[in-house]
Amino acid sequence: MSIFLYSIVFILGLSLLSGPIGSLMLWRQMTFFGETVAHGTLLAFLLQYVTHWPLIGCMIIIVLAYCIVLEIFESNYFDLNQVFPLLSYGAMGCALLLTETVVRQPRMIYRVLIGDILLVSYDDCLILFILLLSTICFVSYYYRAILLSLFSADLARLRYRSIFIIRFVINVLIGLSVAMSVQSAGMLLAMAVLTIPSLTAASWSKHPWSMILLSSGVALVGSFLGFAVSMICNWPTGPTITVMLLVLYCLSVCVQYVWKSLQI
Amino acid sequence: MHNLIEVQGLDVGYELPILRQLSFSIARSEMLVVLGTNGVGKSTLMKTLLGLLPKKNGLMKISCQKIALMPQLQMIQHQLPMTVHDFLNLFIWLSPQWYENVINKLELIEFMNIPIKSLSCGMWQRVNLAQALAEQPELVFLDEPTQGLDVQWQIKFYEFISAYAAEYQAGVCCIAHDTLAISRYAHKVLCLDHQPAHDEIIQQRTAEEAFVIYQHNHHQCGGCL
Repeated sequence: MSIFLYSIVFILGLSLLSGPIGSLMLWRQMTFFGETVAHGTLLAFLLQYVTHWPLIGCMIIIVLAYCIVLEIFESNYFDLNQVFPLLSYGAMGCALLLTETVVRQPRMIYRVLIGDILLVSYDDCLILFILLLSTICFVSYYYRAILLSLFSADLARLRYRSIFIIRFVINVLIGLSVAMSVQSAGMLLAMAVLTIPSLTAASWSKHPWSMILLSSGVALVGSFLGFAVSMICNWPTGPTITVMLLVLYCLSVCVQYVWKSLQI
Repeated sequence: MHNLIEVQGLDVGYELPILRQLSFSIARSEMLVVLGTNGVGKSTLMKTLLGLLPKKNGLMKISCQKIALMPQLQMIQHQLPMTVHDFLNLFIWLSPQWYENVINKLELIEFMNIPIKSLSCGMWQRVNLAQALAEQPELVFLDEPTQGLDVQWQIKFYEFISAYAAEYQAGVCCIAHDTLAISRYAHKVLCLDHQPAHDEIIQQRTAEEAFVIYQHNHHQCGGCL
């Protein structure tokens, strides 16, 4: 049981985090940024292998670097659809090549691509819950500013002069959440764990705060179900959780369709 | 008359100035309408007056604290579940009575629980105006406010904003393309570029007392009349 304790705690924390973070990513149309950070985590693993620094430290460095680059390009009105492919696939290509040719650790690639929830430690759980607490406090405090910035950047700047700092901190929180999600679901599916619950919750919610709460609820149900099935069937955890969340989304769509048909 | 905003020899732009040597003022209870072709720099001027962009040159003096903006229509995120009531609660209202006053006058009561993504353009503009008046501003900037409104609501809109300006001694700066604003409600017009469609109306208005035109050719340095 103790083998699974940290995994269960990690899934709990990540599910709760996916509510605010997944919702923010959908509202701000930042899923591509999330994918870019997910692909960049391979660089973090490489950095950790070379420098022997803690993995989370390497991830923070990579996430901050990406957020600074994003801020520079956004402030200079660059088209981010051109920037993200370069950052995303360029980083991943370089990292894969280095891992294969210089580091020569193919197992590391597999672990990063698919993830392994059973390898999370006490430190990973602690950092995740610190991130969760920070996110909840930040989003609660700047709730109005965050939502206002979705409608008009000028209006948000007029009322909140520090809107650039708020935007940067949100990007960092999103980046760190994606980096934490890579540990459980892997680089390929990290975004799925964060965004599918919010997509499911969006059509059932009337208010932003209810979408956040419902997303966390859907993530909890889907993640624990997926974890249980993966343990019973001996399947990789990340893909199983993703499929379970997808099943919940499809169920949600069917229920809504039937509900609307009955009302008519 | 006490001017809420006074501008002398102002240059505005991004890297290079796109408008030079602008001079105008807005007093209390006055409406200034800014006219110009697309891309001439109307929104850039507005952003500079709001302090969102640094001015390139010249003098700009704003003598009020409460400034509000009604920005151009923004695309509403379809993944964002939010009612009209939720949206208006993003703003800190002067008082609950003021909130009810504005909602009633803009006829928004029946739409308060409707998701904003199902609002029409015109209804969204009314909600947009409501948010601009949340703190009973002394100076209001309107960026193409009648976009999406039918003719009846365009008249109601301008009458509402004129009545607000008169009652609360507020100044209004409005970027508009429709001739209704100039023909009936504007006290001053800032022409940033030659627009033949508006010439006749402006000629009619110049015969009236206390109607001011600021003529500006953005290709050359101009002055004020």
